Amino acid sequence: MTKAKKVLKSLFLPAAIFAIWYLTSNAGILNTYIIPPPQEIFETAAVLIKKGTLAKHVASSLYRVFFGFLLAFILAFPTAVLIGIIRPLEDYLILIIEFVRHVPPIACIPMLILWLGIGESSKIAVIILAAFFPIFLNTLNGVINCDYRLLEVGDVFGFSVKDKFFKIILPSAIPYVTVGMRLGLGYSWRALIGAELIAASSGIGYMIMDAEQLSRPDIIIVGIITIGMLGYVIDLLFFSLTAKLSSWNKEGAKSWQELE
Amino acid sequence: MAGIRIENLAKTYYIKDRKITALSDINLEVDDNSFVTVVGRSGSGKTTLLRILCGLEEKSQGQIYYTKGEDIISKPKISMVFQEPRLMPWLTVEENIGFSLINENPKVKKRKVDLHLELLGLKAFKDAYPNQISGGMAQRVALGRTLCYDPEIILMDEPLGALDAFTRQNLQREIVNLFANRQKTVIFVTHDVDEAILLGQKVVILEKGSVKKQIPIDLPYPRSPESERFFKYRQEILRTIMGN
Repeated sequence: MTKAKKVLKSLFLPAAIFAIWYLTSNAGILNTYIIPPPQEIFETAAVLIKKGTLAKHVASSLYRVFFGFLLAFILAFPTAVLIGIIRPLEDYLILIIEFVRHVPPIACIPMLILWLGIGESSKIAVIILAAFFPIFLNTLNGVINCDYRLLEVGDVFGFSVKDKFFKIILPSAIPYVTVGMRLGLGYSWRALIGAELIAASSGIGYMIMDAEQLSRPDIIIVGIITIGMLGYVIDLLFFSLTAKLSSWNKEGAKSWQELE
Repeated sequence: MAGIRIENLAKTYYIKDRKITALSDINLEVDDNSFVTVVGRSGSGKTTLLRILCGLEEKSQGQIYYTKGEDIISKPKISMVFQEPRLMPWLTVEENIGFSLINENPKVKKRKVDLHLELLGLKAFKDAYPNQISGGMAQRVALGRTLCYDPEIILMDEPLGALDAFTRQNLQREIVNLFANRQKTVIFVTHDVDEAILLGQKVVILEKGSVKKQIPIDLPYPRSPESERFFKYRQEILRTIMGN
């Protein structure tokens, strides 16, 4: 199947939804106060873009995601590598890890606001909580699943522990790490919007919340569409940036969700 | 160059409290620059012997000495070619060949890698990844990788075992050519009696973890399996293994 055909097929359903939405709302079947017609959404989007409101909110959300995600990576990656190499550490950490992993970051927001205020730090903390585990667990998986037969190759060439780590363990874990990062990026995006809905003075989540107060469903829908599209674009970008790193791994590393 | 003298080597291990003797009372002399093949049924201890020699497993008893002529020397550079190629899937053929040379000067490394790509006929495939090449080609890369490391003693654990008959024949011929002009000591494990005679200056027959017989093969290279003397060696080895 050609790429163009694939794109056309993927556009079919969204186009159909838009068409039905357009026809029903303009025929007076839908209550335009609850669901404004598509043309109104486009107009609102155009106004928000022109005024720079949308760009401002998108920028502050994106800034939080990337900053928080970066911090999550800086924390999760070395921790996972350390535990992957020094296995006994896992015994000490397993309970805490399993406990925190099952608490949704959103549930921690009230505490985080109490501790860190409603400024940037509480949002970034939520993102760290959301992105940490996918990165951590997948990296750990990659490190501990390193093929012992490849490690033996290092042994027969007289590699030191350091050589084996940098030349064998780390490269073989890369596909796992990128899967973890990709999941983490998606999770942090979702968690951030949640955090912004609860307490923020900027960001797309805040824009949606503000629109609710003003009874502006058109802005809410513009916000939702922006979130979905941006999330997809970020994922595509990340995938295309990292695909080359794991192209040798044909089956693809399994994500920790699949492994569970 | 270095030879190996093995004295009273034994290896035992435990599986659920049951003692398994993998090797017992192995006494073996491998001269420097000689090509020795080891044959035996599966489970006779061939692989264990190689794994102990290259340090992947600990011995339980006995001594291993490395020799140069009559002298005993310290442990030389030893490496191993495994039954599977075990290439790094994220590296190209070229990068795999040079995999062992981590602290080498880049210029020297490039020269050595190019030399071995040429030697093994892998030049056209140098940018391919392991999942893009055939099994025979991959084993060739594994052999090149080990040669590039330039060990004094090379251990080979059925490196051609998983290949089809044609590829196998070609590689056997190449191995003979490669080692004819090199100062290397090779211990080559196989379960294929013809392969053992084709390649080895001495065939060591292992059975149940002990050396059952050592047969020097007095045939000039390249050897032909059709010759009468080859046939006689084959009969002798098969009789020893089958026990009649």
